[in-house]
Amino acid sequence: MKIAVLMKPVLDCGVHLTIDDKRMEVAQKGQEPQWVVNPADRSALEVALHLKYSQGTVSVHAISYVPKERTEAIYYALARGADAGTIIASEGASQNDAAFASVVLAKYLERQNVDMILCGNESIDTAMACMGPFVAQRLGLPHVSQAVSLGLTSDNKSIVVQRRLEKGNREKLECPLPAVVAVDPMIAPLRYASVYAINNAGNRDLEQVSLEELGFKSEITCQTELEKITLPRPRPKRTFIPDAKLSVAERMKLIRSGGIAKKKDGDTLSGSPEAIADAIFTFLQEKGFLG
Amino acid sequence: MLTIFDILLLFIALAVCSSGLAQRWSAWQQGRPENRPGSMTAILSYLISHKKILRKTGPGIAHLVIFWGFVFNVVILILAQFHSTLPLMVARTLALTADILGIAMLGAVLFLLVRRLKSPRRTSFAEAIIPFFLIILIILSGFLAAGVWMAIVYGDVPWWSPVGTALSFISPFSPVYMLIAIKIHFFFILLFIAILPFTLLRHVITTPLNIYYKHHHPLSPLPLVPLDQSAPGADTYRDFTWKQILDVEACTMCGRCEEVCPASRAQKPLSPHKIVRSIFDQIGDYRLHKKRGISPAIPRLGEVIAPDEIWSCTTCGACNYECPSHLDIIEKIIDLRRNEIEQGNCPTLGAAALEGMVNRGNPWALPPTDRTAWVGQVSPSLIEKTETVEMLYWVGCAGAYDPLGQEISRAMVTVLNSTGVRYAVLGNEERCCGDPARRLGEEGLFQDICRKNIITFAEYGISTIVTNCPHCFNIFRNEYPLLGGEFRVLHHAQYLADLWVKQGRTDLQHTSTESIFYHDPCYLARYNADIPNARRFLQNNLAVDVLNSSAPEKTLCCGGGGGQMWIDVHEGDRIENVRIAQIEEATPDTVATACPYCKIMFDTALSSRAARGEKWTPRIKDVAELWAERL
Ligand code: SF4
Ligand code: SF4
Repeated sequence: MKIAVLMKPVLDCGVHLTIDDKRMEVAQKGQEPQWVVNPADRSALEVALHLKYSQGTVSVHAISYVPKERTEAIYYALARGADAGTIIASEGASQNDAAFASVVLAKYLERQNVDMILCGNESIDTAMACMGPFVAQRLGLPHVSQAVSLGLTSDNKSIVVQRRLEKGNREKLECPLPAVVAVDPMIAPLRYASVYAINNAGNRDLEQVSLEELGFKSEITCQTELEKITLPRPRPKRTFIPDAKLSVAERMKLIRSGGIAKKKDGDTLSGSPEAIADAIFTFLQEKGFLG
Repeated sequence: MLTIFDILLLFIALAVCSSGLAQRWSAWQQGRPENRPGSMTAILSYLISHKKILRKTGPGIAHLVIFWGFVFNVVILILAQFHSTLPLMVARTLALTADILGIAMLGAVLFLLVRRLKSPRRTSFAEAIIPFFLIILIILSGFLAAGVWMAIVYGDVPWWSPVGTALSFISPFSPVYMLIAIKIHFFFILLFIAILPFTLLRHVITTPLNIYYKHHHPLSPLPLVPLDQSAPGADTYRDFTWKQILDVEACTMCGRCEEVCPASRAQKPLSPHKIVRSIFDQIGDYRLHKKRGISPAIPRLGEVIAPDEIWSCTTCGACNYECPSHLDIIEKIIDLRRNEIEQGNCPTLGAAALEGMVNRGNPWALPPTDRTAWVGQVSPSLIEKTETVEMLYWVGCAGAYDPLGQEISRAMVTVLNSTGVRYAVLGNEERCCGDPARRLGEEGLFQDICRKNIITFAEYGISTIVTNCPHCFNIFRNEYPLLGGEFRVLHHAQYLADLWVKQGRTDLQHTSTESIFYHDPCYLARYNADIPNARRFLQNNLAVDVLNSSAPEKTLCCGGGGGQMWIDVHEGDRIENVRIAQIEEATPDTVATACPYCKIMFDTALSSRAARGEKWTPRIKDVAELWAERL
């Protein structure tokens, strides 16, 4: 079984961001651009690798549609255990043009004869969440998005996928292969790839494909146009209030996320059992759980 | 007196012994090569002084007695072959000494036997207990033989063999009986020789050998791993070096490492000697399986050592420091971690810290452009390429990003600014020193960071570095030289104290009456025991009385080192609570330390005490902060 995973490098968004007005792109403030691999794509890769290690006969092919030197995502995939990596050089095309990117990827995938195409549900930079459906549409394949679990049926001919819906609801689908699945990051925890592994992957051969080789003429027409890009409204400033119950590692997590807003009073009830029961009852009534 | 039969038995015993030893030898020959020059002085001085063994007085003395009793008897045995040539007086004094030593040995062996039997640790009867009985039998049968001999040969009461004489009263006057007694003694000795490699008695050979090849320092820097060959780390025992395998052969299962291990004390799933033992047992089982042709695949270490064990270690160094057999346990744990990292099995929070280091230059994973956010009201001087500085003040990630660490950095700048020294900080050009990466087992990342930092230091012409974090200090001082980065590295307390004396300053206010407990950070007190202890600076320079008096090297870890700040092994208590409970006995007003990690760990432990409404809630301060307060 052949699985293709679409991998995208994105700018590290955990730092101070700004807008590059000229290029209409998000940029990092005051530092050299630092690229990371899109988290949801990493999760997609983990799903593919899990199938590879549990099935044995699966090969995983990572594909990245990026400028030639933007190899981060592909080397990460190889370091984690992907069998092959391809860079489709996007030179001359806009990074924000998801519609055109899907045309390119579909064109390449057409010839690959893969059984499953996995990608992240959305990337943390542009967050358009459309690559999965777009590619599926162009290839005429069935498509499932927001996948939070994925398994093969016993005959290996279809997959069983759980989708994440609003308000914690889930939906379970069976879908024949080949298919495109866009996964939610929660489908698999991210795994760390060591510097040693990534450097080693750097010694491996990559397949390099240019747009010309895929039959695209030098004149590329943009299919989507970006009108305006702005930073989100600043979040209310949060301060770090240490919580006595936290371990140091949990405290570290809080510091990273910029601290917590001060807790509202009334989380803990105290008093006689009757009073507590009363308070809970009133609370449930207020919130409309009890009539 | 030896018959052909005896000689035959002797040969059999020697053959069994050497085949067992050859088996052990072949085990450590399977390890990777490592250049370890041995030192004869090291082993001789160790055997004579029993230095590390005597850290525990009772068992230490017992071992000393048995060791010297053994040596003495072997010498006597050799001398006995020429007994006629010795002057009578000398021979008799020797005999008396042998008698007294024999009794002392008996007592010592019984003492150690009782300790073993009472110990909660897993000790196999055949391996650990039988040798004791055998030694007891050798001593008793020796006495018995001497007794009969006395009874036959002497009519009077010889002063030089009290035990022999005493036994002679109850011994039958029969040469046959004497012969039997001597034979029994002889056979027990043969048995001793034969079972030596197969029981803990092997330590008679393996431990001295291990000490012969030991590092000069109990907490030697982690050796550099070449990254151009196979992946770093140990997946099977074959990935260890031969010395690391010899290590596990030399363990006597005394359990001292476990007694001092903060993780074991906090009921975490880690016991250093269990790690060692698991490797030893796995090698043994594999050898057996191979013999029977069952499993040709080399077993993976992960089958016998769980991830939670290796991720519980704080690399505090207590186990290495205490181990009387000079094992390097931390090196093995780090090698196991390296393997986990290479397999992609880093704990989630640890992975976030590592990615923080890769992408943002710090394990807090905060923006690199926020590195100077700690500055606040103080004004440190920022480094410039055009001007050389006397000293670089290395703030470190804790000092730059953590609210508690930032307090230390600001205190440092306050003190430094009052001295007029031409120092500077790197500002946003600083990045992690690489210690968390190295201790978490990410060797590639460490080497990457290390090389980049060495280049940065060179660009600014830096030759002296002062850090307030013992982890930065240790890695700059002891591990950067592995990659060619040689600098003069000082810890902040050491630097400030020297400076104060040099500048002849006396302007510290010594009025406070607070009681202070100084918690020794592992990476200073143990890893760098040779530098002046910050406790002395508190006493000499700040003129405060420090409540604790136990040896600095015996300090119990705060629980924050070795990447523990970023890993959460939930099982057991938190290590910081164990240490705080210990400090509570002295109920100081202030807990002083010289490490931001300790400060953060204790703050967590103390704030949860406060939340529980406990009465004793001291403040926790770095020595730099205490210094700044007194300006
Ligand atoms: S490792 Fe050292 S301290 Fe620990 S049990 Fe073995 S010999 Fe004793
Ligand atoms: S270094 Fe410290 S925490 Fe780790 S095993 Fe040794 S004693 Fe335990």
